[in-house]
Amino acid sequence: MTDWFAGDIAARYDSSTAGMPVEPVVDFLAPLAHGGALELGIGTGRIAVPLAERGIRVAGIDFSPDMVAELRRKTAEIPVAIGDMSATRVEGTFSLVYVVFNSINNVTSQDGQVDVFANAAAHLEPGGCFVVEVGVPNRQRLEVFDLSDTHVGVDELDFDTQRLVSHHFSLVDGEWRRISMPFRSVSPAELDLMARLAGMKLRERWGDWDRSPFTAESTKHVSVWEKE
Amino acid sequence: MSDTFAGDVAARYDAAVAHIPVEPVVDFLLPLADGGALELAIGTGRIAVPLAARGVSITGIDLTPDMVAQLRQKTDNIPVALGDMTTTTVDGTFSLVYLVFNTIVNLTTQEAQVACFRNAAAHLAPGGCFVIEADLLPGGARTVFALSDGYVGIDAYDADTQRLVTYHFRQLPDDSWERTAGPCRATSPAELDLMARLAGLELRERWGDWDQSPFRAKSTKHVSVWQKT
Repeated sequence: MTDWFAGDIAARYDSSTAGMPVEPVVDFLAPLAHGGALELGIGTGRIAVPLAERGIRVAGIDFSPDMVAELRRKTAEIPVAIGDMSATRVEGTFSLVYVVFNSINNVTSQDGQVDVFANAAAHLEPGGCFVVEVGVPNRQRLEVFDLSDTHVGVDELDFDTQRLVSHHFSLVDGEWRRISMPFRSVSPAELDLMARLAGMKLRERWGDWDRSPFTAESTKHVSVWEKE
Repeated sequence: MSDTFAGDVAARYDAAVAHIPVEPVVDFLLPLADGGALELAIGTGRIAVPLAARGVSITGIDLTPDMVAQLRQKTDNIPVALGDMTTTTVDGTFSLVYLVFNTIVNLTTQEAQVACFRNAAAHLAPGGCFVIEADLLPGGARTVFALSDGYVGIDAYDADTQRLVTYHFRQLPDDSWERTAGPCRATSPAELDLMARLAGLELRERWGDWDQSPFRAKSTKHVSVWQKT
């Protein structure tokens, strides 16, 4: 596996995502986290740090040491295990396990994504919830998802394999750079079967963190599965 | 469950699908059927009758008595159990269970489609195969999939629920038109692979068509083979 978040990406991650709202995410997750929360793909702590500030015990798993180094500059209070979210364990159980912002797509095989659900379930207490935020599969082979003076994003999807490559063209220090990051696109219905294989059941599905309805026009979903 | 294949639809079924090739389907299924075959939604026997003519022992399950009545006009040698393919069982096990022509989408919930895989697996001998021919998810909310002088086919698709309604407008011999519409649930190959896994089956092959052409990004359908582990 390649660490796509090493070096520059980690160093610039918080500034490149500064435009994304954090408050609605924390508002959504906090009521589920009374028994502690485990974030898969915790990264720089964009969500975990403000969640911990609400008095919640938060632990994390992340594949990228450089991303976790950014988190460490903010707090020493959140324990993080370095490793693949489909297999890495931490001690204890939680009432909430969550993975946000399409990070489940960074696991690039169906088997790997099935294992993420099994790993999440293994860290949940009975009745605990697994929350995933992820985009719905693109309809077109090529889609422009961002176009600004400093960043262009193009998604390339293979319908047969569900392999998705996000091509980012970014202006950094006066120079354009390109990064092409591999993902596996996955549908809500497919995630529901992964949950079932892991002994979890769909409880809620929303169009966004603000609990807007999930509709045919939604471009992403926030789904909550409960461990039986 | 509503029976969208009753009456006139059953009476005209064979004529309506007469242009769809049968030989490549039978050629594909035959080598898998050495231990007998069970066809889910056997219908009028469009595939089962020529497969039986090659010496394969065949049994069927179908929801629609009118469709099976059409099969009975052709042969008495293929036993058929009437009922829903998610729960209806027949005696014995088979080396092949198959479900063709996108019929899996007639099951309108994920739950029912999972149950269909489980029912197929329950009828398979160890090492036996479940073969499905199915379409991919529609690419948009409204798709015209056929347009000719005597027929128009339109798919209406809700991406959030995967609910699909297929509208058929057909010109009848008296020049009037009829509309038939059936509720469906579209499903992706990857989702079917997880249903197979829930049923104890594993993907063995995936093709773009019965002629074993490759399954590609531009494929509009797939023929998939899962094996009982």
